[in-house]
Amino acid sequence: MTQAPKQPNPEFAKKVVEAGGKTLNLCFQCGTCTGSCPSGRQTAFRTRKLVRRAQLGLKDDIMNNEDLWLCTTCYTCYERCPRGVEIVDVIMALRNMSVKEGHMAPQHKKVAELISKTGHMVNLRDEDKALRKKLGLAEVPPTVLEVVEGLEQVKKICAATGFDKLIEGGSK
Amino acid sequence: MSYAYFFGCVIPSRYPGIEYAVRWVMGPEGLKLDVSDIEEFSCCPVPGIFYSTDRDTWLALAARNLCLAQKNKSEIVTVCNGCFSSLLKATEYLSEPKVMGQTNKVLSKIGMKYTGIPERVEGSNRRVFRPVSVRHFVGIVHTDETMKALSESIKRPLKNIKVAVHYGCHYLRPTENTAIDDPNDPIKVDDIVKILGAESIEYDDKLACCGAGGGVRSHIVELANALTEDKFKNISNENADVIVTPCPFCLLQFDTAQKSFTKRGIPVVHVAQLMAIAMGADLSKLGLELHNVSCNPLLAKIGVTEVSR
Repeated sequence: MTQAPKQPNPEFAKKVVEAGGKTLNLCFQCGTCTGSCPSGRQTAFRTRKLVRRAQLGLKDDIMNNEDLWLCTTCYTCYERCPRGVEIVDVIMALRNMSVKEGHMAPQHKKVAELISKTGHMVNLRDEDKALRKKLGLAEVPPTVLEVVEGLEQVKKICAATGFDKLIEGGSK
Repeated sequence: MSYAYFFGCVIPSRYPGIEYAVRWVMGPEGLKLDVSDIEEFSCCPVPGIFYSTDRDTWLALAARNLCLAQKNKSEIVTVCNGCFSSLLKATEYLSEPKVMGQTNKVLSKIGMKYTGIPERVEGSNRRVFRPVSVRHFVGIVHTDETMKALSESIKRPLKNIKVAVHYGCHYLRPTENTAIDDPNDPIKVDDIVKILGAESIEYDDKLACCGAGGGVRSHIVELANALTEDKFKNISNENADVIVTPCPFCLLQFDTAQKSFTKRGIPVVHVAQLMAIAMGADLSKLGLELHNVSCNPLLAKIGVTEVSR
């Protein structure tokens, strides 16, 4: 039995462009990105293929695919692209779309929640406070960790953009 | 122009010795620069995970931080490549009027508005708005004047110390908005290391990624560590005494990943910590004992007392 050919979906490709991948269609598939990719040295991730799939709008091949999360955002491909495709921004647009569809790694969710609740991505533990004191620094850094009004502002922003709902798994 | 410290998340909570080092190096006992704290900064927010998750929220939170510096008319001093990249990229996005308008709609909920800092045009009544200036610690130190002051303030020259400089991706790229160094042949951290009396060694793939960025470290740590191991082998081949980076996130990665692939660790320090050592700071305040890979062999080679662990 042969597999049915994949159908391009120009609507999806258009959405990627709108979500921030505005240079997507400049790509002519030379593969410089793949040759530059540090993650590609270690895994089967091929940047050029991901960009091609996005151009064709092959949504199902992209959205729930681990490949999307192997990019370390080192920007080497972005720098070397002879066509000026802002590849990292294309990948970020795809990641944003994938998260909206409910695909978010639990570890990323944990960090995102920490920021929306505490304003920082690393928690300040009691032992950290003690160490800071020992070094002669303020026990609590003079950031939203200390200033309650500032933290309230961070929370208001996360509520206003729908971020809280988004990381709970609902759509924005 | 006055500067405002922006320490981010990793430094204050995991490597507070870097915070001490930066404050000491830039402050009255060091380079005597006009730097102060602006209260209420939050996470930049972290580009890898936050920008990946939702660009609009990432931008609004970054813009809130920029608004605080705008109000204070300060330049932001970042000490982390992630904070540097995130805030700088935000100013670039916010230079598009449509994006600025959308972001300000969100900021209106907390009574803030990002415009940039107003400046009067000379010889006219017109005002222009220039984006809030986001600087990197290395870029501020690496001026003729400050480098001269640095060279005159060395108390413990780092003789015979072989340093492997790791710049980190977001110090170098994307070039259109970083532009603090030559992206293909960066020199600034190497220059600082040399002024301190140490040797900056060459090694293969010096500009390659540490592996941690883009949310990879938190999600697929094995991949992050494999990339670190590649770099580590090249550094180890050249018999480096220490890895020096201007980024605490790269530092965290090098410092914690090493145990997964080697027993012969190489200590990792932030460039501000290395400066503080050479400039004569109190070693017990640099938090070196918190680093996973012991810094004692390095301190012994410099000829100073080791720190307890």
